[in-house]
Amino acid sequence: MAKLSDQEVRDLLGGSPDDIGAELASFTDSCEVLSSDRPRLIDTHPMEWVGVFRGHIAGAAADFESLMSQLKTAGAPPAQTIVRFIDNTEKTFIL
Amino acid sequence: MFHGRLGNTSKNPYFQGRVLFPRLKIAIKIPPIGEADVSFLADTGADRTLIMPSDFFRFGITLAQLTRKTSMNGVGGQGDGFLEEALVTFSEPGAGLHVYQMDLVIAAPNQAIMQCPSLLGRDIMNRWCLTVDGPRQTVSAKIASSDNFLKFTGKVKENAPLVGVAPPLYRD
Repeated sequence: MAKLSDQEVRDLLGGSPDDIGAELASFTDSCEVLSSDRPRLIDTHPMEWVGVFRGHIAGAAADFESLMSQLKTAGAPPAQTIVRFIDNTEKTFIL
Repeated sequence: MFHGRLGNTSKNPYFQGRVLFPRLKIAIKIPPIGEADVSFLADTGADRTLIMPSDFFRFGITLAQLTRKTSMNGVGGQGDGFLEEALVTFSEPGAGLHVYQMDLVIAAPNQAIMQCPSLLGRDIMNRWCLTVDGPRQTVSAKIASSDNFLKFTGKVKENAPLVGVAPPLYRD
């Protein structure tokens, strides 16, 4: 792609660097819930799709589509919600 | 320097970033279509950064909007995907935003990879000094270069709560 200038990138991002940094920090906080030991999602939501928004669980469902519906109802924007399947079976990834 | 996280049970290293597809972004929608925050599994074996289906569906775009077909190879065999121009942004606390302009791979959805995390490939990580400290259970990166660096000014807009956000089911 043709190299975009800092100003072009700023315009595309649509917010100040500080605001985007704050939003990414909030998303990171949500991801930390996945890494938390208190509680462990593998104990509270085994074999479920879980969505975490602003550090809190915004929805949990047996299938991905149901979770997306729950997030909409809860007002949690999917784009800023971390979504993962909480698998309690051991899987080995060779990527 | 910025820090990633290790998965709770897998201990896999993850970094969070924002992906924006300029060609597909519709800014007037709330939230905007064509951009989403992604938690990437750092994968030094991946040539390119890759968006997996469970993240792709959060962008609000459809497969019909993707036009540049590609294929990729992994231990599971050959898979189909699409190339799309993207901006990938990482936030370094206290410093600013590092932005990478690149062709990103989007894996074509199939049930076998539905639960796989998106991958941070060497197209980005070759520009970082990455440290995965197993004994200390930390993962961090020093960013050596990026295509754009947007410095923080220290002024953050008040982040108003969204209307209708559900109360937390629990607090930890």
